[in-house]
Amino acid sequence: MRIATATDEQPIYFSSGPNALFGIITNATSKPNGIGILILQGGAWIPSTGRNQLSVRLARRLAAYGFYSMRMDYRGVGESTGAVTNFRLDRPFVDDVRSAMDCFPASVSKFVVLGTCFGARTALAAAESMSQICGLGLFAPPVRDFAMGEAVTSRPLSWYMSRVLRPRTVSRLFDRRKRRSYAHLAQAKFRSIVRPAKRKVARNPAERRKRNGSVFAGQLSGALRRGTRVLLVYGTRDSAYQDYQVAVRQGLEAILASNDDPPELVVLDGAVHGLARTAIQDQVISASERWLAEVIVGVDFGDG
Amino acid sequence: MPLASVSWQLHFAGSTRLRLLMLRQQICGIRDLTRVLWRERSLGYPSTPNNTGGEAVMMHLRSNARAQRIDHQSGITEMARFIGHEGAKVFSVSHLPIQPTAPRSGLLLCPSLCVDFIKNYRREVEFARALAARGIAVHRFHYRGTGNSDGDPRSVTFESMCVDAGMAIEYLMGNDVQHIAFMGTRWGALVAANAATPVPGAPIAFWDPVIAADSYFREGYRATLMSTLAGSKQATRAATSYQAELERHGSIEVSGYRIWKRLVDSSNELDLSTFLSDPSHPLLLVQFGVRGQASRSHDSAVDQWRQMGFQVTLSLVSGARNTWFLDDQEPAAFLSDQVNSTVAWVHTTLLAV
Repeated sequence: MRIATATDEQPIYFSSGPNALFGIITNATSKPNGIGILILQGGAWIPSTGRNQLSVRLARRLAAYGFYSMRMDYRGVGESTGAVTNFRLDRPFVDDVRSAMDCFPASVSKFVVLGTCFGARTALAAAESMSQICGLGLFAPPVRDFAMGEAVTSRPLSWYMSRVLRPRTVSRLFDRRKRRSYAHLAQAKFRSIVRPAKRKVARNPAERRKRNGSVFAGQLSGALRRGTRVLLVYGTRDSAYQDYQVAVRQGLEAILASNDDPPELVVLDGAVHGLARTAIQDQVISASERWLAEVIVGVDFGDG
Repeated sequence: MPLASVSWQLHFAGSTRLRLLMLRQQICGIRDLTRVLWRERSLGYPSTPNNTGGEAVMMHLRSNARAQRIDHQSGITEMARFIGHEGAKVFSVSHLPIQPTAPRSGLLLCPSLCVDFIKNYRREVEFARALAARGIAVHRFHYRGTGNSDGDPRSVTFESMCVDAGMAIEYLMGNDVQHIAFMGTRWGALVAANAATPVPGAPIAFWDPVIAADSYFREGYRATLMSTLAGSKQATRAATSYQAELERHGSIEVSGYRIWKRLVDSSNELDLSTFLSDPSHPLLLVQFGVRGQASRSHDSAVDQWRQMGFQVTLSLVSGARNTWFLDDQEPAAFLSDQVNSTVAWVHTTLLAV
């Protein structure tokens, strides 16, 4: 098994609508298994290298198992053309995924999409319409739908009420900086409630579905019904993990359990979202490798 | 003595060495292309699609040598490729004008490290495209051990970065470039200044440059500690000893990146001013600030350079300076001011050379 290098890689420009997207394909360095891996980044304009070369390292390691892989820049990100002003979870870049898949060699017939945060939700949405996707590796996927920067203000009022009287919250009120940030948060939440446009949205049933995680649950259960294998990786400090636990208590668990192949849940100590610690990055790579080898290809991963 | 000034000693226009270099590149390019296209045929890649939708007409060659995009609307060609030897390839992107200025001019863009690398990525791409659209070729690259390039991050040193910059210059010069400018973002300022040393009169632009290597590491380490242990005594105590941490573990963690001892050792006591001894270089310093004031370190550096006889242009871009963390901030908020001021300065200065 040989880990790939740049010699095994090919930069590529490809079209997606009016935009020219950029990606790098890593060729398999052992006998190809016919499966292509597409690696998607989160929002926040992170280029295809990922934080600390995570996507590069992952792609080159997966080549040793016979996978072709591609790391790509969304429209308006990295080397791609176009512009993106915000990353909204209810508007994932499914077209970009579809275009990227067309760039793999003809010998690749099935795909696994790995994505973090916004990329995870894009992967999940893509699996709804693309039957070639046989696996999804979702790292810290947000359960509720919100635009970038609205993670906290999009929470329901009950969430705020449950936290406001906690001893920790009360103790923080003695800190001037914390007090100021609480005040900002309260103002933002108040604005989101009283603004007429937002209020109209809040009354819209479809919008409420997005906010309470029903869209995520529907997409996930749909993927499982179609036989797509799913890996879910959360960190104990991810706010999305708290949302996931709430969703599980509110009925997601029953949906997942009714499938023959329920998703594999890996919970790491710390925050997976943002991949802001090298230890977490290494664990994410290791978990992905093991899952792809054992579940998707069916080989013994052993000690890695 | 500038470390990489020995790594490349090109005599520019008309040199025999340059012509030989260009010939070698062409031969290697054709050989690589033939080899890779043959391999792709055997792998069964779909035929090369041509995008005729929208304004851009693009094509790509699925070759290890390069991927190419032609944008007729903005009048540029972009070429992404891996350059260098097997196992030590450097990812690079050339942004070439379809109608170059006369005489031909080019700019080498040296990126930063760690989170800076990601935060400034899109800005650098936009800048390169804007400059190429005005007739100036731009070459960008990733240092070995970073980004898409080959190499072990543990082996990255300041010297290796300068060697990579030297290789990138050779590729830039391969486009018949006669006048060259340099630009460095944050840490890349040190590399760019070093690379510019052998080229008298070459304009150098800095985006929020790192003035002293030591303070860069210390600042990054402290910021990371603060983010994990905000307000605790442990954070304050530990933040004073990043070098001790480095001795103990061989690396320090900075916002999801490892900075290895070899890099710190190789850049020990590096200071941007040590590379600026020839006042014939016009300098531009672009800096961010919410209060419209340059930072103290930048202010004193600019004063020092002016006293040495440098012609320094200081450009303040309004915006929060958040170097060490990724946030939800839309890069376009800075983009137009930052890019436009730099493009205009480089364009004017290069034409005046």
